[in-house]
Amino acid sequence: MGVSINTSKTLGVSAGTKIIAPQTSAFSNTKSIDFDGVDDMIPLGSSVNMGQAGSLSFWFKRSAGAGVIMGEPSYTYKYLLYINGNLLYFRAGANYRLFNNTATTNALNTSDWIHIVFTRDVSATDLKLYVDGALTQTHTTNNSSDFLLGGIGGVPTMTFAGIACKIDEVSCYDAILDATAVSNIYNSGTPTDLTGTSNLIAWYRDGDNDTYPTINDNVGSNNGTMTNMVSGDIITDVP
Amino acid sequence: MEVKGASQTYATISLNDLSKIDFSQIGETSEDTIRKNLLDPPTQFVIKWNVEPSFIADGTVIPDGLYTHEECIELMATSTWSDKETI
Repeated sequence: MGVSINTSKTLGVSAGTKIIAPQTSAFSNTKSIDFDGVDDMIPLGSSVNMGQAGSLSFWFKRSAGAGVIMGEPSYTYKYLLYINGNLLYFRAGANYRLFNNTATTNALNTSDWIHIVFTRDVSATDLKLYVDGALTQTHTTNNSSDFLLGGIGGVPTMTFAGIACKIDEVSCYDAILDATAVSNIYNSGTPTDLTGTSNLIAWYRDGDNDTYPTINDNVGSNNGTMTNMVSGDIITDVP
Repeated sequence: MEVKGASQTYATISLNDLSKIDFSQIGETSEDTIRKNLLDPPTQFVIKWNVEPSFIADGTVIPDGLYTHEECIELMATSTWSDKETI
């Protein structure tokens, strides 16, 4: 619904005329998901495949300690992303890359919400981590396995613990996001509407427009299911 | 069952008692999604509740251990319950 403004005078508009402002986006982000770090997880219907050149974006608010942030049942140890202190491990297939330089550990050293993007280009052997819109570290890719996401917070088969955390607005792309695209998604620290974004292949709003226990894929139909969780794990703490 | 907040209790249970668990009274979804320890074979699993389940209250199932959320996270970080990446 547009905004109605009563004019008192001027600029060629008669007093009392109602000006209807343009419709604005209905996008709002008011919910996220709270994981207990014991057995909460959101396995997806099937793994999202970001292929050989893909990107993953999400918002994350952590606790201290170690644990899985994102799971993938076909990978060794069944995780895609794992954090231990201020060290972030990215695993595709059998090998991991450790993100541990000063820029990364400084960026992870917070109890506030942060925005994380990984881009992985196998042909260019290029694996990048962006935190809060800034590139913090680059690695060579660890192998030619596809870039897969099987679960938010983890998957049932993993042998690692999850981490107590909050996660929001998980989006997957079958293309490499460049620095400008990453910056646009970060949007100065406020999640933004991704509707219509190029190469977006899955988008989990993590609470917004979701009904427990289903976490909708807002691009396709590869929904997630809140597992070992309750409706109260959809919370209003958001970035 | 709604389970959340500082009042929730976590418990480790013997896998021998798995068939006695009524999942409608706890926070876990099903026996397919429970977290088991990493012993070979596993010996225990974890459940959580806000209101004590009847199968605990009446002694049908006696937990091996009771924990707060914080205590359970510490337990899950041990090698009995979780692998850990090393640099």
